[in-house]
Amino acid sequence: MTRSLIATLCILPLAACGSGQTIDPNSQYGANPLLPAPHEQLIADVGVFETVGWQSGETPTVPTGFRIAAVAEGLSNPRNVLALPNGDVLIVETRHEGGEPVQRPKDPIRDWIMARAHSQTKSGQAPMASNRITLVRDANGDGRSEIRSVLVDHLNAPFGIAVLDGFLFVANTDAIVRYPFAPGQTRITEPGVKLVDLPAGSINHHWTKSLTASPDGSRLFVSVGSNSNAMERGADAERDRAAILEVDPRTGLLKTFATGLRNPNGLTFYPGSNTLWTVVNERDELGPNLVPDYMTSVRPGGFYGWPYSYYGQHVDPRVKPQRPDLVARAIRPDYALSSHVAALGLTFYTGASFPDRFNGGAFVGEHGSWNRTDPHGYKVAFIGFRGGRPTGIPQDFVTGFLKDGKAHGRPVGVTIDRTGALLIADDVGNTVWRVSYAGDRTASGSAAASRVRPL
Amino acid sequence: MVRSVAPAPVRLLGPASHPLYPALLPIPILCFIGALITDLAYRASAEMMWLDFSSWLLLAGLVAGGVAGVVLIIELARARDRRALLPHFLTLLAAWVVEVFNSFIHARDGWTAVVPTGLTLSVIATLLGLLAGWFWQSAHGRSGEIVR
Repeated sequence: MTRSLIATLCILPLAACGSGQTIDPNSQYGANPLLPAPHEQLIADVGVFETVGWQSGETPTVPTGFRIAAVAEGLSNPRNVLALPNGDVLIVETRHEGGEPVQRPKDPIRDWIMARAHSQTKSGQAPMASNRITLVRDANGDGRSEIRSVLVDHLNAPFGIAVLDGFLFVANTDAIVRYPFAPGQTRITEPGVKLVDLPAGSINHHWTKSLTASPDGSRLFVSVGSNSNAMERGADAERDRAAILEVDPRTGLLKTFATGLRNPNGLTFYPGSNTLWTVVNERDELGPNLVPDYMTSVRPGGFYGWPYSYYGQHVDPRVKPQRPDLVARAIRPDYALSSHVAALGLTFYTGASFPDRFNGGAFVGEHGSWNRTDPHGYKVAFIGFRGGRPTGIPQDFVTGFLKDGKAHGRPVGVTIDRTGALLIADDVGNTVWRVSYAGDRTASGSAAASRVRPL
Repeated sequence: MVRSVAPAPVRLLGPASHPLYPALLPIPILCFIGALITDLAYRASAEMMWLDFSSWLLLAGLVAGGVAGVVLIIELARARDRRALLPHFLTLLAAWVVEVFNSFIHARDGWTAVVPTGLTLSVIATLLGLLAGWFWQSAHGRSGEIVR
């Protein structure tokens, strides 16, 4: 009897692995993604890749008609990029120091796996200095920068930045700090003034604070990711988290704008509108095909489900006690980007140099999955917009970050520069890339689209 | 067992009056019982702290049980009457294997880490652990020349 019990137990993991959850990748895009039943595996799928960086001459892959080149190399974990109207490009180099407190035996194991997917230095080698904003200037617009300067140094895991009313606002992981800044300046010597504290603390799980200003400049919007995957650190750890907060840039007065957004990033107003958009990293460990990350417009006061439910009213079985009152009003997001892509960057195409079909469309920086053996993300995707709403399925725009099971780079923040080129912060590749259009604007737009290769 | 020449009794590993194995054996059994109790507390309260307790108790039980298991295997190799120790060995091994799976279940983020699978496995492993303790006592009584 004992022997048969042991035999049964030995078969268990085989039954638990190989979930057989293979679904059509196209079914998890758009407004109505296919959502399979939650499948909590005995051991969660893990697919992380050795980080190797780019050899000289290597670049990510762009569609025919486009050109890609490095704007700045040898950076230290660049995660965000902002292009100023004068052509200067601000690059946010950032590293979150210090691990999270160990709560359960799984925590150090998870941290070790995650560290492997981010490491850029060989063991024993000290990491390069980071946590600063580097300015690069390409005065003659040829795509090569002539000046490179550290604009602000000694920041605390900064991510979002915004220039507004003669100030540079920096969203450090624990506070928004304001520096007097005039475009053209290459070095800020005056000390920053803290505008308002942001939720940080000893856990600070999702630490990137995305930042943007409203079109009229009267408000700042800052995103604060959750402190856990599905509230397993307890409800107290989630105070003011999994939310987008609204801040008065003059007084620092802060109020909640929207909640239930597990890890929102890439805050951007849709061009010519007062509609705020974000990309959100949804929860892990419910199987390789749950939950799709998404891009959504954000309604003031809206609740988007986390942690109680996902994609509207789909209740997460792990979260107790439940809140049926909140689940009942959980908003279904606008557009699914597929599961575990780790969307961290979002920008809308406002330039004039790409073919017409790109106008008003979204570029999404997808850092790449860990909770899938078959990787998702590791690319910049393009989603066309019509009438201010996303249409169709995402197209691979910049790929080749993951090649032969090795991560050369991982895209994060994206933006459009004054020439209409796309800039991409690549934290593993320690590079900021610039994608420009080289072809005939009117003729080859559709040809470029049809040549886009799947990852 | 009848032998013409009675061999000298085998003594358990460790200092003469302080054998190692009986000192190690209670640790996994108690940790597994503890994890069952904290699982019940979690089911009653949904307070994450109890799930954390369970996870650490399982880990402590597995580590101590692993060390005890190594010593037990050495004792089995040295023992003259292995059959007397077999029920103890198998039930303890089964409890340990069940708790390995239970640790993975307990690594889930919330309610499903315990209800229903984690709690069920905790009940099974606790019963197996207590049974293993019972069988140890039987072997101790029956086979003084092995286990003294």
